Amino acid sequence: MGTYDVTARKAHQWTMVVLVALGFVLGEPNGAIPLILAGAIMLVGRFWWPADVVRQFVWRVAEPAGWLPRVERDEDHATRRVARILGGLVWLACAPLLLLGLGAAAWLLAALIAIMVALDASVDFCALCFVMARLDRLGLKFT
Amino acid sequence: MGERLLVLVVVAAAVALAVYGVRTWNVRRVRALMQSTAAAAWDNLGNAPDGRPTVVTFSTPSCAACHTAQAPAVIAVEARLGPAAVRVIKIDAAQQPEVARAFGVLTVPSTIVLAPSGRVVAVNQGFAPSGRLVEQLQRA
Repeated sequence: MGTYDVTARKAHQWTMVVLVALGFVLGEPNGAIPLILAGAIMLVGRFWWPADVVRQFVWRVAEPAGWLPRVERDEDHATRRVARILGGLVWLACAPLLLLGLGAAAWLLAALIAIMVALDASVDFCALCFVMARLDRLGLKFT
Repeated sequence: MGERLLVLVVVAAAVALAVYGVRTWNVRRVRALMQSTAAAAWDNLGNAPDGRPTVVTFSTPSCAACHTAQAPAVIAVEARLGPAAVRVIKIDAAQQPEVARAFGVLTVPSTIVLAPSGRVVAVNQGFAPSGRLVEQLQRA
């Protein structure tokens, strides 16, 4: 837990949702490109900060230029980082499914993750945090 | 492409509607909790009001945010207001899930602020910084 830039998080999350939506609209097989891009930014950006391109843009351009206001808040990012890895992996896994002709399954999985990301971006509902808290209350420990 | 755009709009509308529904339900639930009698709230806690405003904290043993952020925030509140002005009751939501359920706790950490009379004043789902807790305690 710590103080984080909520604006950068939300900008990153909405961009990922838009990329997935764009992939869906483009259809198969071209839709795999934005999906791979979103998955790569999620997964690689988690471990190698220069690849976290949306946050970089927000910090280096959008916030200094005053396009977006910087909002800082105490948030649980430990669980969100795990969610980010899982989301990135699922989106990357969906791309080959699209190319294999399994469009329905791929978009269902991709949409599930995109909806969770959109919920966190819009109403600060961290789905994985909620699930972890529920499991915790049931006595199932993951740490 | 047109069909897919329509699907996107329908999915977005369905999600927005679901979020609105859950939010409305939660607001009503918290309102009902705040209007419930003090006795009902304290019965759930298995405790009794002692004339001080009270913070009830809900955590679980493996909740990192509870121990690294919420607990220090509550300690800061105690240090700022003094033991005469605030009482802290700690609930392990894993050990006492019925208490968490009774207070409508959806996640951990969560904090409930109770007035000196015992009535529920505020419900914080998720981390509550010390400043917010002090403000809630001062209007309790």
